[in-house]
Amino acid sequence: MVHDSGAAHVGSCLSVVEILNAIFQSIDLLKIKNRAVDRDRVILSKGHSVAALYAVMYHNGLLKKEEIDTYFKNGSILAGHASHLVPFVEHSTGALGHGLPVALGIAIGLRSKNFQSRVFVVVGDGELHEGSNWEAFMQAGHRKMGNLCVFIDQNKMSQIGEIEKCCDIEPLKSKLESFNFEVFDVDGHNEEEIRQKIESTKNSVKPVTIICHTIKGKGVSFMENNNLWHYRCPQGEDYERAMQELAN
Amino acid sequence: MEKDERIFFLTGDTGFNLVEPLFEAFPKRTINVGVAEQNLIGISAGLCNVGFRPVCYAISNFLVHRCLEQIRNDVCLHNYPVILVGTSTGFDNGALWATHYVVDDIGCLKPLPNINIYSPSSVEVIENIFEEAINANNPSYIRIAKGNFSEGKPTGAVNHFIIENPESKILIITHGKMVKNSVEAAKILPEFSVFAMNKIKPLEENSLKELLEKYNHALVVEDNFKSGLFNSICQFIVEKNIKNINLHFIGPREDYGRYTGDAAYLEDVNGLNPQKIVDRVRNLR
Repeated sequence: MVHDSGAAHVGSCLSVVEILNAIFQSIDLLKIKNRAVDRDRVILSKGHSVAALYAVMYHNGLLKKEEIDTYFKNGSILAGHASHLVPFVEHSTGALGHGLPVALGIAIGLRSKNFQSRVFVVVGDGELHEGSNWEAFMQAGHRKMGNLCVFIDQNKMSQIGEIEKCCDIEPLKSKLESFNFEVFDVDGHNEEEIRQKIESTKNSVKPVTIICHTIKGKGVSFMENNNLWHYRCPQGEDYERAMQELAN
Repeated sequence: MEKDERIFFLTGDTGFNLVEPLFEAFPKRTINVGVAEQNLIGISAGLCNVGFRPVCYAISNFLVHRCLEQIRNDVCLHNYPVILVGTSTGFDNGALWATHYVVDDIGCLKPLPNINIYSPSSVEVIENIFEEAINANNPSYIRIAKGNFSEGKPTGAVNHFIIENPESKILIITHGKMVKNSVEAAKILPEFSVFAMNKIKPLEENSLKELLEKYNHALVVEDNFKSGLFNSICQFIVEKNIKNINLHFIGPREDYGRYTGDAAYLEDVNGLNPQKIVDRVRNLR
């Protein structure tokens, strides 16, 4: 997709794709397709990883081949950031620090209507520099929003470098625990482990954060932990080699 | 809220001795998010996803400027029917100085697609405005000044004449609290008409065109920079190629000012008090 369209952010997509697939594999897709008001909600707050979201939606029957083929092309609604104009995308994102407050609002609304559904929101670790996230963490913890599940794609890199060198967010787990969250660590590339954690936290009294330890550019040796691939689109030999490594 | 279960009331820690009864009566549809305006707007957008019609209450500065990106992306982009109720507008908080008075909110929100902007002038029209906003399928900003100016009777339309003087060739177009100041000015010098344009966006183009064609001078009086209603009317006149109207403005110049002062003082400094309005009208005759 990224190669065909000339898009950026392939490294971020390879970081988050298993998290997204594990979420979509864990929820009732029929309710999503029927736009049921008590459906579970999924929000990708790091909207620049939208190619991964659309790929996962395609493989879970929420996007058609002819739709996904238009990704990032002129005249398509499948832009380079998540858009609610695409059916089944709950919220448009792109500017960072927006997804979590909106997810919290959905969680509050669902609880107000006595629905048991959950809200899953995926944020990047670099995105946590945005203060709006902490407003939402504080309020969610205060209200014990057990129906809110936050995934942190912790690849330890932001746009131009390593997060710890820019503004360290550690100790993340104890920070979030102090905000009254249940916090778990998982291998963010192990879908089975993520699915199990989604299942085991479904009756949580407190809001949940699942810190997903990931590698930016996972699966392609020359992309891993290399921020060049935050922007660069794989072409030519790079593309061939990347596809070969991913196939293996 | 009793009649309409879609309404969800949110405050950014504003409304002491005012909002408490709502929280007691509707615990499942009220929330104080604390001093966290970005979260206030984000939560509201999320509530719309579930079918609620959120009403967000805060001092206008913090409701508009602190969270402008949330209003743009999470509300306007999605065309969610969030109602932003901003208080202490214009120079209401003048004594608290520039961080707390608000004369740049209209210009700030006006460029955003989908949002309606209201500036109610009286206790009567506020009901019409809320009715309209609650039933709209798009976001609204309602800019509420301190005061309880009454027109003494129910108002039919949101935009309407307060004083229609058939002899006069001078029309004041105003909104919000400045309607009261303009009416008081007319008591001193009863030689002009006063039209309350309480709905600032979208402009009611038909009635505006008629108005502008009837008068020789239109004086926009607003407690907002020129980026507010004045600028919309300028654009309208140019786009509609309306001739023979002289357009004037009374309002603060585009600067945050150096000095503190209460609303009456700062309105005086900025030419917005009744006597200064009269002085300006005399110069137009």
